[in-house]
Amino acid sequence: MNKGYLAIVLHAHLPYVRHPEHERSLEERWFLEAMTESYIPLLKMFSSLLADGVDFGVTMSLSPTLLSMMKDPFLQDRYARHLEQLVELAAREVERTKDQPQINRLARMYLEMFEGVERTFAAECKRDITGALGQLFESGRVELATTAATHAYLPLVDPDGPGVRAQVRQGVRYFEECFGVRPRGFWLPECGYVEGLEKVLADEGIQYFILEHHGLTLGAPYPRAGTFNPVRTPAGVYAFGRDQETAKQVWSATEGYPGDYDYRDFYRDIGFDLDDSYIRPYVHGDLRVHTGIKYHRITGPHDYKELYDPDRAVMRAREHADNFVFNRRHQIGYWSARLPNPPLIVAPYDAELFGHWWFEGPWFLDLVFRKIDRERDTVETTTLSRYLEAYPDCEEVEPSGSSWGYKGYNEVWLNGTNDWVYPHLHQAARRMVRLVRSHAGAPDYVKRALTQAARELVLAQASDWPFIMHSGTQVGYAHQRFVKHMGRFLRLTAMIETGAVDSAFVDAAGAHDNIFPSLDVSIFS
Amino acid sequence: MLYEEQYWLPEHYGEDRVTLMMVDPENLYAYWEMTGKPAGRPFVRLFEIKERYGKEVPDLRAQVEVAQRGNYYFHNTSADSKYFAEAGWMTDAGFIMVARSNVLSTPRLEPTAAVRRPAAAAMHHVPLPSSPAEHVWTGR
Repeated sequence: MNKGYLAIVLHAHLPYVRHPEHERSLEERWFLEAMTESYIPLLKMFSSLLADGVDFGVTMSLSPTLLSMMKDPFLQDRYARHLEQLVELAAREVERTKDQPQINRLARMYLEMFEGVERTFAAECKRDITGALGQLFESGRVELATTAATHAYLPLVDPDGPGVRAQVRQGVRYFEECFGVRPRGFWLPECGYVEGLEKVLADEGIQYFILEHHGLTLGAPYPRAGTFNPVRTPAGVYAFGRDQETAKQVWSATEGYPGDYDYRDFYRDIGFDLDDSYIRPYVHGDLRVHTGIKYHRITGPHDYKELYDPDRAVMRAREHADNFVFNRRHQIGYWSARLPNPPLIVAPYDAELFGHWWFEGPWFLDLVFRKIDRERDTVETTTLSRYLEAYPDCEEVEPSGSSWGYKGYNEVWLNGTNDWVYPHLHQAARRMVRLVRSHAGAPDYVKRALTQAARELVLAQASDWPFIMHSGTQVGYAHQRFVKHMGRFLRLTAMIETGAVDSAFVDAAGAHDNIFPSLDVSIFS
Repeated sequence: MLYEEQYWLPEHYGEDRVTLMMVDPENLYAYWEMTGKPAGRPFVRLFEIKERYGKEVPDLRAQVEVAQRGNYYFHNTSADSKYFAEAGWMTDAGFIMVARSNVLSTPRLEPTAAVRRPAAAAMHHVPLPSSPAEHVWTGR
């Protein structure tokens, strides 16, 4: 008999990156790589679990920026071309390595993998990945949830509130546009929670969100079940707490599963290893980049790398899946007699960890779901909504400000590298609200300018820009994107205020920053 | 046209305003702007709202001489407390406030008292058969 539940939550997000002005864009590769290595493999994995009749539950939050990119015909074209190239490169690798059986086997593995992804994308899904995700959603086994419109870090985006409300409203509306139903769950970007946020979520009809562990355990009163039962916030929205043990087992760079020496090494890639004349068509001009073809395993804490052995890696993934399930059973066994409702372990991860960073991650998840279903011992996987439907009576707790970032609060998004963005963002949100109120009956060409200003503002609010400025890689890009969106916002709002709207500029900005075609500026009211 | 755009964001917006933000419960950040002609030395002051005799009373926690526009990190603030900041001019006759910030509540750093705490989290973690790797991936 089952005594408790495991809710794996995969949060999928990428910033909105789309550069038709360049023949090739380095940053668009984030999307191209994550599609091939994470999103499509996860989609295939869930589909195969369904096809095999596996009883499982998983929750997946999808950022509206990512959904917009998946639906964008221009990016779909670029992705199709990227896949063609990838298949071509893998086929050349099979030929090039024909006298090196060990590497050749790996080259064939990549060729097969890329051809499979191409088949899923082009033939099976007809490029419509969001449609395929919607079908999984309808199955009831994969619950989809939304997040902030452009993944703004909500505790800092706007102390006065309108920026936060706009992000939440658009996150909800865009989800409904994509999947035809309102989302029940809302992923707080970076698990960033600030006092009062639950009221905004409640106003938009959200039923639950997820907190970092201490966001719940430092709540008032102390939740008697720790993070092992959800709580009800005073606004009526439910809050789940992130489990620490499952976080550490997968996330920890030193002890986590993905660092195992038998797993594939992420950094050693033929994009850096092979001759310039050979690899040049598949990298970024003069710049060497990851191609996705990697022949080595982590091996150890040194530069010496041995060849990757997929059989050993699968064995290791199986051991890790066994270990993961074993530990969940013990957690649940311990807590089940001590809690009012059956224990629930909430294990959220970035979706891109699985496949992109941790190559074997999708295998691991597949093994975990199958093992739990096959053995039906103590633990069952579930979606967050399914758990709430079964156990709606919860303790009332007021959560505490928190995030899953370094040190548990806002430092990653507010420090000497990125604090300069906030005066602009805050001023812009106030200005936007003022203009929406004062231009309710404005002619269409003014409304179009106002709508484009709203697009530029939400794009500037993305958590990614301050995050990248802090992380120190591709800082120039984040800086440039922030200044560009804020600059366009200021130019558009100045036009509206002076009554001199340059429609050609509005059109050009709209063609370029084309996120949320049906955006309604009332999100800022 | 669009691709030759060059933008310089304004250094200030011509508003008397001070905004208080939280880095973590023990570190706050304020940015401000004071328009108009200086009427003294520019100062930013941080207040903690304390409760005394059932009333909320502001308690001056820090004051620093600053520039007319700028930002500042306040350190050693307290968890589970309320703060606000003021920007203004320090004169011989006292402080002339130009702008007051939002009120910011810092979260707790300790669990709330007087509740039944569950036993320490179950420690059933079984070591893996292989030694943990030192590999660091670039996940968050």
